[in-house]
Amino acid sequence: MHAGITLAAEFGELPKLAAWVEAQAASFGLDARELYAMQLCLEEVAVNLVLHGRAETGAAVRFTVALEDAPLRVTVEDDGVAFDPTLALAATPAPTLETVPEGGLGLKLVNGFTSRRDYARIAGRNRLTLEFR
Amino acid sequence: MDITFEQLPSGATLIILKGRMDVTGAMEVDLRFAAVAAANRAVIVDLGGVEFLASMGLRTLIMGAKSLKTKSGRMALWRPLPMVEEVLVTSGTTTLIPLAHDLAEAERLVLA
Repeated sequence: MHAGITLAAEFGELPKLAAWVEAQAASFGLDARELYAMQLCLEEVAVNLVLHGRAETGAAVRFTVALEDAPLRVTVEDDGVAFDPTLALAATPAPTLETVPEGGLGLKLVNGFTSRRDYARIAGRNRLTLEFR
Repeated sequence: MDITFEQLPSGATLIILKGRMDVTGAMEVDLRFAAVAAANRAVIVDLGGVEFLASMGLRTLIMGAKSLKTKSGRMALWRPLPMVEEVLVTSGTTTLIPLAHDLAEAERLVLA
């Protein structure tokens, strides 16, 4: 089974992404936990794209999300600046309230809520695959 | 996303959040949350009605706790749903802001 959607990397598009994942839940047999994990990880990846994906002089970024079962995984492809989130997941020391940075929590969640993460830069596009089972 | 406030008899301030605390939800409540956190010393955040929480929502909670801490105030998180609790733990947020499952415990954490 396979389903896909293409969106612009803009905050206004994110509710569409969450709604799209929810609409696939029944046909992909997602339980409540898998649905949450998938919506969470896709939001985190998309937020990163909105905030950091666009080159200073570059065009608006678009991204494609493809959902597959067996194994249950999503592939996010975008034409933004090259970025390997699997490298950014390296452990950092535990912060205190005084030292906690404003960002960085999203990728930590992606790490915690997926079973496998693969990144490749192919023909000028980022390709991130996240597995959930 | 909804945000309401209540003054508890103990003196603690309760912030009640309801809905999806995703990017859109966090942006909706961010300013009011920050204002209440800045104006009080003992704040309990009722997460019982929050069905989804992602990093932009965590940022709202952490920035609020941070501003409380600068004036010796305290924040506690109260009764998150299981998946929301998993997000709080996985992200390390519970090492920054304590978590309580009953109100008396939350009040003890912020009023101590």
